[in-house]
Amino acid sequence: MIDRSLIGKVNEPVYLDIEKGAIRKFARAIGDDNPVYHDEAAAKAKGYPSLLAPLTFPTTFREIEPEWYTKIDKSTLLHGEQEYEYFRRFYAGERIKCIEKVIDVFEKTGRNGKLTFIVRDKEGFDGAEELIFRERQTLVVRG
Amino acid sequence: MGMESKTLLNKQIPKLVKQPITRVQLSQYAGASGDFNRIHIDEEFARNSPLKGVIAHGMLSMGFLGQYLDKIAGDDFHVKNFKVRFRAMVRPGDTITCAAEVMNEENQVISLDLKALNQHNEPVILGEAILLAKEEEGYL
Repeated sequence: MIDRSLIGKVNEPVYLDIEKGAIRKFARAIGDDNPVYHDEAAAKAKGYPSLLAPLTFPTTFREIEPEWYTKIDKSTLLHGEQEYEYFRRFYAGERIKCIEKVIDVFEKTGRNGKLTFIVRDKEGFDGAEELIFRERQTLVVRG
Repeated sequence: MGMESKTLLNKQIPKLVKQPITRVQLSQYAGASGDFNRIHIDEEFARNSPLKGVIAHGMLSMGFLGQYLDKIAGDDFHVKNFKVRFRAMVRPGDTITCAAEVMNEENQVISLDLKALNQHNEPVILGEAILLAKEEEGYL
């Protein structure tokens, strides 16, 4: 059941190793041939330590989905909004700690019935425990 | 870097026209992102759902805008904020074009208006980004 009791729910931290192959595969799926995502020499020539993670790469950090998410009937689920705030970019070879939190849950009734909005944040921290990005997602569940 | 100022003002930002989205690409993106929601990859499931057929991952189109944004930022800027609202469904066969317009530029902070449009010129994503001028060479 999705309701306001979810607000504030925080998951256990998940650690993700950023791999070159995963960055390449992601950029290839998007059709993005920017060499900084594919060719380490090109990335280093830009001053990066290794391949750069694309801007939307944190969306791949879904190793463990929270229980409430797995229970949603996906045919009723819409993606409303997505936002990123970047404190620095990150690169292949890093280990990122990811913490997810439910920020808000609210309902609206429209022409097509009830909609439930879920706002969740995913924050990424580097090896020095510095916040490097915040992803905010708004999901909409129909009915 | 010297004293030259970094600006996008009075620059026409070229659009980015993507290749038409294919079903194979949706499988590729599912694998690369870990989003295996059946509405994107299972035709039978999708046909029997209210959406009446597979739709592309919203994040794929946001990924196109991300590609575009990193290109616009180039070596002079970094992306501080990137926000989108998903406005319309994208289906296999659709061709997405990314467009950007400078809304404001002040003290080396640039606000951009972003759009992802389909082949009927309808916005499928509306978004905004904030770019900051890089203060020095090298990575952030």
